[in-house]
Parts: sequence; structure tokens; C-alpha cells
Amino acid sequence: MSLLKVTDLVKHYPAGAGFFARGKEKVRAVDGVSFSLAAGETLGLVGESGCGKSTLGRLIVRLEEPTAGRIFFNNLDITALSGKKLRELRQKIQIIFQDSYSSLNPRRTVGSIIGEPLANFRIGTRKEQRRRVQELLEIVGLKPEHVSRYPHEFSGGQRQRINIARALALHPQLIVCDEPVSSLDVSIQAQILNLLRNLKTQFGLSYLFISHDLAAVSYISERVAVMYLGKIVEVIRSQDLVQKARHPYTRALLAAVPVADPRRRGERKVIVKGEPPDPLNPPAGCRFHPRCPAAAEKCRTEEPPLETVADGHVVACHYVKI
Amino acid sequence: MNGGLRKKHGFPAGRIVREKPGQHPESAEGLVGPALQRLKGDKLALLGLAVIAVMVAVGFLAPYLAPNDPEKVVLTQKLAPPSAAYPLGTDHLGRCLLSRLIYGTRVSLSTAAIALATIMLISIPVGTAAGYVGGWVDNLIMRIIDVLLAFPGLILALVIAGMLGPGLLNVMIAIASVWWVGYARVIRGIVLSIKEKEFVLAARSSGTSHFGIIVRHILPHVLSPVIVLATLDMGSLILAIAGLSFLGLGAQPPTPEWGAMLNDGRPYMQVAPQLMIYPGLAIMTVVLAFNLLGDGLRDALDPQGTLRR
Repeated sequence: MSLLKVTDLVKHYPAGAGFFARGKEKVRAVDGVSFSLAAGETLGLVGESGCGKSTLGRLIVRLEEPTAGRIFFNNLDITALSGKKLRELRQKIQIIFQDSYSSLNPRRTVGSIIGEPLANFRIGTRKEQRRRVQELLEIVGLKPEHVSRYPHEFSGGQRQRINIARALALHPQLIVCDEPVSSLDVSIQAQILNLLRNLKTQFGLSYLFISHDLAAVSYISERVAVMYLGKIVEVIRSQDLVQKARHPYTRALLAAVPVADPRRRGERKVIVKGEPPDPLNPPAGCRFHPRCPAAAEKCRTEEPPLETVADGHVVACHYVKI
Repeated sequence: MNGGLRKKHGFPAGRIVREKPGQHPESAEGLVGPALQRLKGDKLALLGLAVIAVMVAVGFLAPYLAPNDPEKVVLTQKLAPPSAAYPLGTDHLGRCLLSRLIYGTRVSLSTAAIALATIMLISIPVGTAAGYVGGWVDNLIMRIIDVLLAFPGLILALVIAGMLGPGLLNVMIAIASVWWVGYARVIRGIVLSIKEKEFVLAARSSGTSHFGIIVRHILPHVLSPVIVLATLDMGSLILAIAGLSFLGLGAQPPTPEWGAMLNDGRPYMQVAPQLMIYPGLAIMTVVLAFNLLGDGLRDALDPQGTLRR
């Protein structure tokens, strides 16, 4: 049974909002996305900046209202939950943001930041909450005496640990990690990724792991979904990623991963040229065709549907089926 | 899933960890500590603060400091030069000028303070609502503010005070009803920028109510710029109230108020210029002191200069 299931999710933002421009143009941030996530699974979501992956994450946490489509959590339609039911849901789905500094209120102590979810749902007495906060701090690798410090006294990696502790406080089932390691040093990235992995087994969590870093995503996820301009173009098992990825965009992303061997410099072949198209006005047909090395006539007119090519591997591309 | 800690219900939501002031001097409330340090090095701001402190003390201690009853008319002593009984002389009705100045401090400062409090009481909820709720609420509030800002503030206040009739209370109402718009705008802007910060989103996703978000996460960030603005504005506020009183709309005789005293002294400017010089000096000193302190506070609390005009 899937823990999270998303069908045809759409989020359009009005562009150039104003009295005279009402309803004319839309930014198609997320434009018909469907996927599912099993309990205990980590799904990686990769794509370049502006492809809508963060918006997708925020839609799932219900920080943004979807324009169309449905979100199911534990088989319950949560697309339009509000009020009390939404608050109940908040306990089950949490989010960790990229910017570890701006996601912590600079005027509150670490204790009150991590304890806020507990206080919101009135879990335990103040004493119990305090103890739980200290316990959480230890779980994420900080010290219990850090409770009375302020966020600016911590390093980036430590702040991200505080964010993780807050996300864990309510025993969530799903955590949306929105580029949690992208703003950290490489050595710290590895520490945080390992922490997230350990927490997953320790607490039976599921992650939607959003990143633009293929290496990080394939390290932590069981499956990887590749997003391009508001749509998922390929979903594939992590262990198959390097060998079996078929969508030209995925191949291009893989080719763009730097190889630490100067002698193999010449081997990088599929390099995508140009900027991603304007999401205000996506190209007709396959959205990737203007930049695709393999684009054919069909790609310019007909949008390829997501089709299963192997077990646990779906691709949206005319070219790879031929 | 939420076993263990969830046994007991009904405990008030709130902070679990008490902040220990002084434990991290450089971080008390995150920002206030370094700000105070910066303020300590600013001599002009400290001078302003000292002058204001003296003025406030004078206002509070007026009955003990004033040598005479400020409203007692002694017609035999009118326009008297300084003497032992009347250190600064008397006005056209033989009232002690110094005593009137001292009591005037009380009237001017308290009127301005009450007007400011009223302004805050209006502008903070309105500005926060506009910024936080957004949509048509924001549009409506902002259009009203635009309309009010299109008129020169003091003239509009003059009209309102004129319609309500003379009196200090009406002047406060008039001033507050035009003055809140500027604050509401600034507050809305700050709320808009804070609202999109990720810690607010994180609070929302961990179940904090809108009220909790506003009180715990947004208003604390609104506070320090508003304090700066208010301090910088106190001078103009005092000036505006004195101005309206000078025009006869504010304090009514025999209430000692600086602006009204200026007006009272006006016909005798040539024979007894001190009647205008001393109240004028008093107004100038207070306004200057508030501006100096405001500048210092701005530099201390807002080193990035987001409020610089």
C-alpha cells in the first residue's frame, strides 16, 4: 500500500498579477504530476532550478494549495483538508527546508523551536516536553544543553540538525526534505545524509528527498524521479540509474556529474545546451525537445505519456520506445 | 504513533525552555544585546536619551518642581521680568512662566505618548492583517491607506480636529486617525517579508495556529523597526500637537501647553519675547532629543539601513 499517492497534481501561479492582467498568464510550476511513495521508502526528486520540485514538495505538505489534482495520504484524500483535520495531518507530514538559517526563528531558543510542535499539540507536560526536546537533540547528534542557545550560535550543519529534530518531534510518517544538504559543505552533507538514513531505519520514516544533486539523491533514495519543467519525465530505481536511465534529460544530468578523473574528460557527450524554457509558455509536444539531442518531428507536436518500460521504471519519451 | 508522551492533555501551549537572560550576553533575544552595545557608543543618542529622561522626570515631578501654581492668575504681576518668585517672569495674565513650562512638559509628553499608543493600537493590527491575510483584505486596506496618504497629514488632522471641536482629546484623535497609515504601511511590508520566511512555513507545517505564528514569529520581528520609527516620529508628533494647539485647536486655556503658550505670547512678542522663546526652546529641545535618540536607535537596531529615509 502506498503511503503517499499523487495524481495529476497541478499548480499554476498567476504571472504579472494585477488589475489589468488578471488571469492572462500562468506559470506552470507543477503541471500534471503523478507518483506514489510506499511506506518506508525514499523517493528522490531531481531536476534543475525552477522545474517545480520545491513547489511539489510544498503542495504535499499543504503549504500551497494545488490548482488541480489529488493528494492521497494513507489512502485519505488530503487535497482539500482544512481546519482541524489539516492540523491533525500536520503531525504526520513534516518538511525540512534548504536554508537552515532562515528556517529557524533567530529570536527563539533551540528548545522553544524544537518544542513548538509539541506545544502545538499539547503533547505531555512542560517537563515531559523539555525532556523530549533534549532527547531529540541527542537523536540528531547535538547536546541536551543546547536547548537554551539561539540559532546563530550554531554552524550550518548543526542548524540543519535542529531542523531535523523539529521535524521528528511529532513522530511523522513522511518527511519532505527540500534540498536539505544543498547549502552545506560536502563533508557536512555526508554527515546529514547519513543521519537522515539512520533516522529512517530507526523511526520507520519515509522521505520525499528533493535535490538537484544526483549523487546525493541516488545515495539516499530507493527510487529517483526526474522532473523537467513541471513534469516527471522518468522514474527509476536508484541502483539502475547510471546504467539503465533512458530519458535523454536523465542521461544529460548523469553526464553532467563531474568525474574525478581528468583522463576521462573527453567522455562527456550528452551536454544539454541552453536555458530551460520559460514555464510561462512551455514548448508544445515534449517539453524537452528544444534542448534534446534526439528530438524528432513527433516530439515537437505530441506530448509523450509516462510509460512503463521495465519493472519500477517509467519514462516519458517517444524516442526511447522505438 | 504518538504514544508515550501523549498521555496527558490540557496543558497550556507555551515555551518549555525558559530563556536565561545574561547567559549569552551577545545573544540576549538574538539581537538586542549587540544593539545595546552599539547604542552605548553613540554619544549623541545617549544625550538625547538623557534629555528625554530629564523631561519625563520633570513631567512626573511637576507639582514638586514648579515654584507656583501654573494656572493662578495674578493680574498685578502681568508680564513681570524674572524675579525670585517668578524665575522666568510671568505671562500676560501674571502666571508663572516656569511653572507653566514645567506643567507643559507633562501635557505635551503625555499627549504625544497617548497619541502614539493609539497609533500603534490601530496600525499594528491593521498592518499585520493586510500583510498576513493578503488578497482582497490587503487590497482594501492598502487603498484606504493610499487615499489617506494622498492628503497632507497635518492638514487632514486640522480638518478632523476642526470638525471635532477644540480640545486635547480631539487633537489626539485627529492626529492618530491620520498618523497610523504610515506605520500600517511599514508594518505590512515587514509582515510580508517575514511571512514568506521558512521558519514561518515550518511553524505552519508543524501545526502552529495563525494566531501563534503572528504572535510568536512575526510580531517580534516587527517590533524593533517600529520602535525606531516611533522614536524618530515622536518629535514630529509633539510638534504636530503643539502646532494644532498653537492654532487654538488643542489645549484650551488655562491648560499649560507649549504650543498654546506660544500662541498666548504672540501678541506680546515685542515687549516680552521670553513668552515665546522659552516654550519654543522647550519644544525644540524635546524634538531634537527624540530625533537624536531615534537616529541612534536606528543605527543600533537596524545596522543594514532598511529604514533609512
